[in-house]
Formats: sequence, C-alpha cells, structure tokens
Amino acid sequence: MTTPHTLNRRQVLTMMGLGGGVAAATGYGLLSPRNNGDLSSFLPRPTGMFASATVPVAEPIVATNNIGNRLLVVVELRGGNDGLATVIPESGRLRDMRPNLLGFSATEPVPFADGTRLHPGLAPIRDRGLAIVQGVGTSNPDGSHFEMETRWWEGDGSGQAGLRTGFLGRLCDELDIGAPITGLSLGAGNTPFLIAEKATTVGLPDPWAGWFLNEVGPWYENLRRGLERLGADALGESARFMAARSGIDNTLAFGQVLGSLDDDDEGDRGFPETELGYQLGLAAGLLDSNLGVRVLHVPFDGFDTHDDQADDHNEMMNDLGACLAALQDDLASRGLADQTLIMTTSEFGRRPEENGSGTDHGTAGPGLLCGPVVAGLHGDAPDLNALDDDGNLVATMMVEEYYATIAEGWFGIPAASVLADGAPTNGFGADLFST
Amino acid sequence: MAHRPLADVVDETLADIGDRAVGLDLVEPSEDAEDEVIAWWFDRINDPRTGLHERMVWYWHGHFTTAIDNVGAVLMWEQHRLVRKHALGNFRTLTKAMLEDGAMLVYLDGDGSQGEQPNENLARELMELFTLGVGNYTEDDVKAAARALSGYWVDWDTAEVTFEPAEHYDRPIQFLGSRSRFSAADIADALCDQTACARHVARRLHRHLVGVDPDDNHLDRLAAVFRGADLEILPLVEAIVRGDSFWANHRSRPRQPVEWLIAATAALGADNIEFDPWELEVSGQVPFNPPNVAGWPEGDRWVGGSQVLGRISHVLQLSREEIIDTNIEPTVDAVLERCSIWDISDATRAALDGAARDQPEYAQRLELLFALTLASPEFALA
Repeated sequence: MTTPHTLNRRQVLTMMGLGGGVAAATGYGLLSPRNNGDLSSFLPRPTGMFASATVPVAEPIVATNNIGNRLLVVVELRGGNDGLATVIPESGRLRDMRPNLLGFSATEPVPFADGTRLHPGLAPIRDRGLAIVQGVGTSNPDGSHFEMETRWWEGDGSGQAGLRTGFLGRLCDELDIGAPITGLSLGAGNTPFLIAEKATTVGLPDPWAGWFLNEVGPWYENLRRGLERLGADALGESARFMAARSGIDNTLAFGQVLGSLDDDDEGDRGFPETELGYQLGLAAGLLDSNLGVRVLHVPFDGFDTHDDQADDHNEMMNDLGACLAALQDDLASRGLADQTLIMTTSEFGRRPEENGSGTDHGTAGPGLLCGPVVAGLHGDAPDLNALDDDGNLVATMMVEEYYATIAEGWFGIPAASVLADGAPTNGFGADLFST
Repeated sequence: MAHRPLADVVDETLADIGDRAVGLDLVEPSEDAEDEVIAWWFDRINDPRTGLHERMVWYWHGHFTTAIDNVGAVLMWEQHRLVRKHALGNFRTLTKAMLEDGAMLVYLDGDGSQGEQPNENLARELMELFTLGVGNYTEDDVKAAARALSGYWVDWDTAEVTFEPAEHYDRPIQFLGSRSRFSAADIADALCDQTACARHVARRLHRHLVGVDPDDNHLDRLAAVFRGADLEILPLVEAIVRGDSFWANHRSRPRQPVEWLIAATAALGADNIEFDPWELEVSGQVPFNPPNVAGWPEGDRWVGGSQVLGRISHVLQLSREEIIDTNIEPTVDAVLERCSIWDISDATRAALDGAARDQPEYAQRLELLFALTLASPEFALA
C-alpha cells in the first residue's frame, strides 16, 4: 500500500490517535415485532401496591387527561445511588450493618410512610407528592457500572436482548409526531439512553457553545447551509461516516433549541445555583418551548460513594430535593405541572453493609417519581434479612417493570412495543398516577 | 502526487518514538497548580519533538484512569511521571506500580482500605477495566482481591504512600483458583499471568489505535505477541500498527477533542498557540480529567453533535484571533491539502464546492472553507 507524499510521521501518529471505539450503535437496530397495542397481557399487581399511612401531601397534582400532552423528565443518578440512605427502612438489621453511615451529619431522616423514612434532603419533594417504587433492579445483577448502565439505558435487565436502541429513544419513537426534537439530554451530550430509530433525539452539553447557529448575516447563513450539506445522508458510506454526518445534522437541531429559549429563562426562576439546578432550569424552558420535546434526560453524577459517603451523599440528596422541588414549582408556574412526570434512575443501589466510610456496589434501589403521582411507597421493599450470595439486596421489581409502568401508565404506550420480547412487563400501570 | 510506501512511514514512526523526557523536570506542581499541570501536558502533546511515546502516555492515562479533580495536582503529577516512565515499558511492571501509586489509591479508594472491611472499588476496576475484562473473574475474586490490596495509606501533601502491615489482610485468600497469602504485587502477578489479561489489553489498545475491535484471529495473534514478549508494550504496539487492520480501518477512528484540536490548529497554521486548558471543557475533554473510571469514552460520541458544536466554536474563535495563515489559497484543494485529506468523499466535496461558490469574498471564504472542512466527517475521523 502507498500513501500520499504529504503523509509524515506525525500524521501517522495522529491516525493512531486518540480515537477509538466499538462498532457503531447508530440507532438502526430493530426491536421484535410490535404487538399492536394488545394490553391484555398486562395486569396490574393485585396486592401490596399501595402506600398506606403516608405523610399527607398538601396539594396533590392531578394528571392531565390529555395523554398526548404528557411529558417525562428523567434524572439519572449516575454512579449507583445508595437507596438505603435515600429511602430508609426503620430496621435494626440496617443499623447493625451501617454503624457509621446511618447517623446523618446535619439532620435526621424525616418521616415518610409506615416503617420508612426519607433522607431529609428529600423533604421538599415529599411535601409536593413523592411516589417511591421500591426495590428496582434485575434478576441477575452485575457489579460493573458500565454493564449495569447499559442494561438500564437499553431497558434490558438481562443484558442479553441485544437491543441497539435506548429505552428513552424507543419511547420517543412511539411519541414521535415529526417534532423538531422529541428527546433531549442536557448537560453531557449524547446518551445511549436516547438512541432512537426514527425520532429526533439529541444531547446538548452547554447550549451556549452553539451561539453561532443563530447569528445573522450572509457568512453565518453560508456556514449553516454548508453544514446542512455536510450533514445530509450520503449513499454507501460507512457506519462511522453516517454517524459523523448525523452529528453534523444534530448540530443544526441545536440551533433550534437555542432559538427557542426565551430570554426570560435566564432570569431567576428559583433554581438552586448548582449544575443540576442549571440543567433543570434549562429543561423547564425547553419543555415550555415549541420544539416538541416529550422526553428530557438530565444526568446527575457523583453517586459512586465508596468513600466519604456521609458528606457526599448528603450533599447530593439536598441538591436533588431542592432542584426537583424548584422544577415542580417552575413547571406549575408555566402551567405544565399536570403534564409532567419526573422520575429517577440509577444503575444500581449499594451494598447494605458499609465498608467503614462508604458503600460498595450493590443491586436494587428505589425509583423516585414526582408530579401527578399517587404519593407513598409502591411495591415491596427488598428484604434485609434475605440478601443474595454477595450480601446484596434482591430486587422486587425488574427495571423493565419500572419502565413498563412509565410507558403504559403514563404515556399509554404498550410495554411490548418498547421492551424486548419476553421481558417482564408487569408494573403498576395507571394506578401509580393520580387522575 | 508522489506516494511513499506505507511501511517506510510506519518504520520511521516506530524508530523515532520521540523524546520521552521533554521538559519533564520543568514542573514541580504545588497543590493548587492543576491548570498549570494540564497546560504543561497539553503543550507536550502538541510538541513536535514528542512521538509514539507521548501517544502511549496518553493511552495509559485513559487505561489506568485517574482524574485530577479527585486527586489534585501533586498526586496526579506523581502518577504522570510513573506513566511516562513505563509507557513503552512492561505492562506487569506498570500494573504493580499503579497498585502502589498514590493517585490511583486515592481515586479508587484503596487509600485507607483495611483488611477486615476492605473497599472493593480498586479491586473491581483493576480486574474489569485494567487487566481482565468482564467475565474473567467472579464476585468472590473481587472480594478477595480487595482484601489483598488493603493496608495502603496516602499522604496527600507529600504524595507519599505507606504500607501498614497491621491494616493488611495477611491470611490466605482464595483468588483466581489458588489459595495463598497475597500482596498487591502478588495480585498483579496473578492477573498478568492470566491469558485473559494479554487479550484484554491487546483488545483495548487495538480499539484505541485503530478505532474498532480486532477480529478474533487478529486478537489471538496480538495476544500471542504480547505474551511472547513477557508483556513488553512496544512489541504489541508494533504488531497493531503493522497489522492489516490498521490501514483497512482508515477513517474509522473518531478523533478525540484533544487530538482534533492539535490537528486543527496545525492545519490552520497556528502551531504554537497557547490554550487555557479549561477551554477544552466545552469539547468534553480536558487532559488528566476523564469523566469516569472507564477513561475516555469510545465510539461515535466523538463525532456527535455536541462535538461539532464545540469544534466550530473553536475554529471561529481562532479565526477571530486572526491566527489562520492567510497565505493559504482560499480554494477547496488548498484547504484539503492543509488538512491532510487526500481521500475526500463526493458528498463532502460537493458541500465544500457549494460553500466556495456561496462565499466569493477572499478572506471570508478561507474561513468558511476551514470551518466546514474541520467540521467534516473526513476530519473528524482519523
């Protein structure tokens, strides 16, 4: 093989360069055939579902009947949130396993439901109506962040289904009505969670990096026209080229995002001055724009609390509670409160037995839902006296069941059309939501 | 256009690995000197005297990940010296050194881990990411290794690492099928002896240098070379770069932002520009600060929309600072030549020709052609 004469040692080094990657997952994978909206196989759980004796909510939100207007905000607690320090069972067993970590540095856990308390930082969202789905995980858990993140992103608790799209991306495919952007991730760029087949889903790092997309003048128009040409699909190119062209195409979609942000959104809308507060403030403005966003994802990093958990987890819970409460209030002021469900995910919970100053990788954990929800505990808490061989919690609800509840109960989308064949799709359906 | 045989260029690259000591003694960071350390390294990466050695320093920084945000400049710098020393040395030696490195111990919570109640973080990532890969060890192996890696304490101020035998778990453990007392170095040896280790490292490095995973046959060959060389790193690199897959996968390697920026500034004629390294943040990549323990993410992420956004922003900023070499003809061919793109696709060529027609004015046309060429798939994929 020969190379052009201009190629030198330095360019060869560049070619070996810093890039790398596995085969492209550009969103062209296929799910199993859809089951055409047949809901007959879907039966809500008959017992043990509803919370009792929950701390009362002052003004519960009732969901809009107009299901076609419903929106979803997903806050991904990255690193593996310690569910047992989030939703805390009043258990002597837990106290034995957590000699150092159960005493919170600032305040005590606050009451929630019978036998269960909450991290005090979550009091603001408890008071606005908080539903907790207990023990969400998988039947054959793995200790790796990356393996478990992938399973949660793909909505495949087994890790065996070989899905090429993300669960949120498939929701967007079902919700897609040709809007400029159906699914949007803020703060960290693209996420596998939102890989879709046909809907437009994009990830935005810092929106202000795209200032040039809304500049006026002939040069900028020529730049945008050039990008449009570069971003158009070309026949017969490799998967990597296709991915690169669609990246350019997405760039132009960012311009629409920016153009749709009101100047008002820069003002004080009551969000905490944290990274999460900033992203959720943008999120509210974008949900309130004319982009057509239905699913909005915000990653929240830092939950891998092997060490210094008392301080670090405390701080993150306080941030989470304050930011989600601010988001709910802001959505209410925009008239979107009855349309918007807020949920959390996390790749796993943490080991019940502490390691002295923190906790190691665990399995199941609680899902938090805010908005038009039936407040209280849902499902069964994992049994602290029946841990698995690794000393971890045994999940009482599969991640697919958690997702099926969102798909069917919130959006009215048959679970079978967004989850793999044979996946467990029992969930709470519409019973989780306040209508 | 005259052509040179590829083998010559590869020979030249492998023969001249660059000056591994360039400027190493110039910096002795204080605790709050994070920006200084990052800027220093960025300048080294960008220094034409560096070569393959610097590439491998970059690779190992992502393989044995540690983030300066978590450990601070002093510990990070000590680890960097260690990586520079072993980047083209021996993998077993490097692994052993890493298990006693202060930055690694702090980053993955080995610091202060006690034998009776060990922290599993370092043990797990050591096996999952650094040596074996998922599926080649059990949860019990993770727990056992965590015990064997206990007993280390790190002094954050001096970067000194001490071993406290009393805190180390010194009873026998069952690890990877054998029962014995294990020190940290014994754990490294046991891992490096596994056939899975050579395969895992060869696969990761191939993915890094070539952009895709090697097929099974090629991976077998690479792992055999690596093992045959007692885990010496240079023979593995050489086998990858001389392998058929290296050229067969031309333009399959997404350039990471740091690499893109270096290539772009060179193309623009701005070789010696100074950067505030945190400006790189908008592109998602600051040296010494990978997002998590898996190091720099791979795959299509680096050609996604957020990357294009950051890149064009950068080009526009550079051109505003008037650093584009205005001696370059504002023609598509001249700009492509500057950007080392000799295999342009029809679609990209058409887009650039269209832009040249749209923008008749001389200086503005050059800027537009650069912005679009540097945003193109050809330039995003090395």
